[in-house]
Amino acid sequence: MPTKLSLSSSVYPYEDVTALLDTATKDMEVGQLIQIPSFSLFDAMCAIVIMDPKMDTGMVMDDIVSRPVFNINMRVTPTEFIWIFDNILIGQMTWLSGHALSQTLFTSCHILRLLEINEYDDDEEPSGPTKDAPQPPREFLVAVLKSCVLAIAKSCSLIWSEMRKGQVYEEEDFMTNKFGVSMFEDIPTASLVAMLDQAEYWMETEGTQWIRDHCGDDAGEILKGVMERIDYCRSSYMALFQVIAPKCSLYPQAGPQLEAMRTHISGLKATHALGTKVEGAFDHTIHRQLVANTPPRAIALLTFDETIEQLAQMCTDLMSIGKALSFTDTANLVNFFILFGSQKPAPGAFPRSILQTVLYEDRIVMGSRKVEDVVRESIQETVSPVSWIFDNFDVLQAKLGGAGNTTPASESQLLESIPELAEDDISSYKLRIQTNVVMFVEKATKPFVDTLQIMGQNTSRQRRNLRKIVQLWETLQEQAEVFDADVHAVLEELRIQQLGPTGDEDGALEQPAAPFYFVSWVYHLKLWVMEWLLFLGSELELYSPFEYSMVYAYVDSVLGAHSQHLQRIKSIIESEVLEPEPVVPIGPIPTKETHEESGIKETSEQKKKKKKKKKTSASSTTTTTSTTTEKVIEYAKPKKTILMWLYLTSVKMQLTRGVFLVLASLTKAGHLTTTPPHIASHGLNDLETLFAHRFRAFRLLSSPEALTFEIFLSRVDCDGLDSIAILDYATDYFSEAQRALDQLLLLSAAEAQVLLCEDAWRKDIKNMIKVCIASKIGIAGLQKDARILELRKSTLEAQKRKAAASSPGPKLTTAQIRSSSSSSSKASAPVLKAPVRKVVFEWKYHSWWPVVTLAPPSS
Amino acid sequence: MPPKSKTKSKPKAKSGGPSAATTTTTTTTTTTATAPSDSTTTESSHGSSTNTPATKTKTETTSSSSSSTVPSMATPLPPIDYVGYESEHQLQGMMSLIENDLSEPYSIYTYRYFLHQWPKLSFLAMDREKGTCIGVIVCRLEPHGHSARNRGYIAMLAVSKEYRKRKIGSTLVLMAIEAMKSAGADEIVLETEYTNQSAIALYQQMGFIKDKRLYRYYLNGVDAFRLKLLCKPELLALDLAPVNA
Repeated sequence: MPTKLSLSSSVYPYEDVTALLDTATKDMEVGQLIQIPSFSLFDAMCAIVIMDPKMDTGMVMDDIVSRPVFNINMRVTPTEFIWIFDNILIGQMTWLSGHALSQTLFTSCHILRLLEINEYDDDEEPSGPTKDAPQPPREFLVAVLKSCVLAIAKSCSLIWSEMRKGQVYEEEDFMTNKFGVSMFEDIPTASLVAMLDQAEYWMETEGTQWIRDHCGDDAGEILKGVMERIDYCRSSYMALFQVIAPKCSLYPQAGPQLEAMRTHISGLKATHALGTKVEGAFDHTIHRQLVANTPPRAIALLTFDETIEQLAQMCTDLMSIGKALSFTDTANLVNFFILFGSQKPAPGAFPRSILQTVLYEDRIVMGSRKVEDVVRESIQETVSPVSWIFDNFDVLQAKLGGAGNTTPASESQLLESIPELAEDDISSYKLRIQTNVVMFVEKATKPFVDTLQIMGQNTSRQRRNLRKIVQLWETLQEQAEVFDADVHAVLEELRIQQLGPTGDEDGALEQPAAPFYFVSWVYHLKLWVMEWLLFLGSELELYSPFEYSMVYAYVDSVLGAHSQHLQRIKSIIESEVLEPEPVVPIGPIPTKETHEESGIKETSEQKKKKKKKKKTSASSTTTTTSTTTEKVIEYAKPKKTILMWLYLTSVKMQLTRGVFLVLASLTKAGHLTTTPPHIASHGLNDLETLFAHRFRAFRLLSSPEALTFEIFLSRVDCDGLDSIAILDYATDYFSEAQRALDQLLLLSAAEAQVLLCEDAWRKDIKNMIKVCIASKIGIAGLQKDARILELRKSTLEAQKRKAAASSPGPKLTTAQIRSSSSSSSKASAPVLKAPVRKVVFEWKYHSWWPVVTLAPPSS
Repeated sequence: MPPKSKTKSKPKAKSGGPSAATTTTTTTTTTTATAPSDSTTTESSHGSSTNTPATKTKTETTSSSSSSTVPSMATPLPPIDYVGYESEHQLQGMMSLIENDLSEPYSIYTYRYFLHQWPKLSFLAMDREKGTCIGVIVCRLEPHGHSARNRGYIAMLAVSKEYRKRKIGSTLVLMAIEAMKSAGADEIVLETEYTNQSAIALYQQMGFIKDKRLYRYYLNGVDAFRLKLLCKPELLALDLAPVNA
């Protein structure tokens, strides 16, 4: 039970055992140690060296004892109120940024001793900068300051209750220790609101007049400052109260309050300078009385500007989460989470915790949708399975219990509970598939939710936890294969029942490739998680320059696999459009028109999208992207989710490949090395070991096929091309990526499925465009580098010599050319005389792709 | 001790991990310790003897650095002896050296935690003439994680400011690495502030890579990099639980 902080001496009886210990240890040699095995490093580090001022933070120093106690009932002027309030706010936001309450909010005497403020216990000692100044009314203290301080304390209590849920990491993200101090949880909200109302009323009636009479020319601004703070307290408390209400029940109403809060924040900033310091109102040694942690943490309070900035950002983040509650489809929701988690600067711990809480509570997503429905929608958006596969989903899901009971026992119970499954007709076959789908969705819930929740963690944890998430998807992929096999078996039975066993023999109605719905969806998300994990390594600055080549080669291979996979999904969906449905009775093969007649018509939005895609197709030159867009024009069935994924994945691959080729070019020219001498200088490590270590999280995955070290080496060689030729290719990739990104910007938020995060999405796209532009400019500079030119000359001369040496004959095949150039480059790398230059990596445009240039030649 | 989060608390003091590299560039020397130097053996060079048995000590007699910050040849550099940790008598000198610059003071129990359990994994650099401790490294070696790999851990490293640029730090690290490898280390890790470029460079020179970034790891709220050296690459092929490592 929290208690009010007591500053009185301890009631525990202490006994001095120094003499006893001295006697007991007399026989020990210097250096002898008595230690129990369970005494850990953590224990050692937290051990208190009693009465050592540095190592005993609970030691009360003489200067603290002799200091006068702050008079909590001292009247305050309006400007003193502003100063006290603003500094309490600084304490609050510093606490929210990960520091201890004992060193932030609780340093305020008014917070700790709020209930000692007495309406009738007047203190006539004048306050303010001059003793001759007129005494301010006590109401500035007992009505205005007290109610506002209470509002902040109770707001912090609300935040604390959210942070106790463990969505973010104790100590590194946040410190929840209240040191047993009450934050006035027992005072009802209604009482707080009444106090704020009273303060406001008094200000409007008497306070305003007093300020006008006594504050001279600043009266208007001071009045505004006081009123802004009262209003801020009301809106911030109410906003937080609504935000943390269970199951998002009040979150929609928090929007206006958060908007008002943001407005008042500007008011706080505008009037902050009016504050007048109150000596002794904050005690930064209070932690000595609250806690004796060792080693002590440094006190590092935010500045007021930082406080305002973080407050405003918190409002914005909470508002954006609030808007996401009304998400229309899973694709928009997923994009919102992706962009929320990649914000720069990263959202604070509190909004990140709220994000995770609202995402998933009692199997409800964002306070309104069943998690199974969201997962089902994600599958539908991605792989567009035959429509009947999700028929009866709700009924079957209800039979399963809807509580995630996917244990084998419950699965068998479910199957037994559906007697129709035992029947031997088409509807029972369909029902069997539908039952499988329900069970698969149940299994997919955890990896799906866990993946989204990671966006609410700090970036370092995101990367660390994504390694586990990859494994979750890998496991689910294995299960999905079984489900897909079951689906295929039933589909085959359906087909036989529909068409008869001779269908295949005649070859008249050859079946399309069986769609791997579940595996496709899982594999797609697994690949995405892999890309994200690898890119986070760049974002967190984990890779050294000599590793960049292997990292981008690996990312390129994953993106390539992803792009290929998405293309396959799209093709299968399209093929399903053109082929008759397996369950449809034999009849004429439906054309596009007949599909439209049968209800599969394009919406006006889809038609618009086609036009956009036509433009994209015309301007794009990459194989993957152009193929994609051409098919979009031809077929409309793939949902835009898969098309957007395909489009963006292709663009990322182009960017990645461009960066890789620049790195390969510089490696060839000797400006960059993949094997710096220091790696092996002590014989402690080598690049191949590092390669295996860097990508160990993927090494045991069933798919995609891992890029081996040998393949990486051959890719760096670039088929024996010289640096300038490689840079030409890199330019092409950046140009293609830029064109595709330009086209993306033309899409509406609805088309791009970023309704909940359009600004962040456009900013990200623009940043990628900047990488393309800056890289192309950089490449133009690289192509003038003396060493790279020398390499070209040397390569051309070598080719001439080779041509002269070989007798005229039939033209060489491409493979022969590659083979010969490759082997020649490996056999005898030309000795270049031009100086090696330092490679510069600029990350200012995007944290995933650097712009690579060379430093000016040293004089 | 602050309570841990219900579900995601850290396994140990984050603050905790004693800082292995934060002092390599900031330590100043005011130590007055009188660490014994009678157990030294001599070698003529430093930084090149990775095969030196860890239990042995070695002596540096000349400077090989041409850096401008190094005293000129006219002022002979004091010879340095490298000695293994032997007893509590050396502790005060080690503590003085480390405490001078660490933002996070360690209790004496922290030092004893390491020195009493892994005395063979700690080394001192001594100014032979003054008999003072001017460099120190403190390490640990124990099984780690599900794979039960033997993980070496460089807990503390400090070099007195006046003695920098003489490869004392890298010599101490190499001695410690060799000692840990001899004792069966599969990998060696340490943490350093993510902004401490010189410390990161020192370890990268030896093959360490930045394995993880630890958010707000230090008490001052600064992130750390966990650096890792893989001592037995062949284990990578056998590792069946790589994610949990």
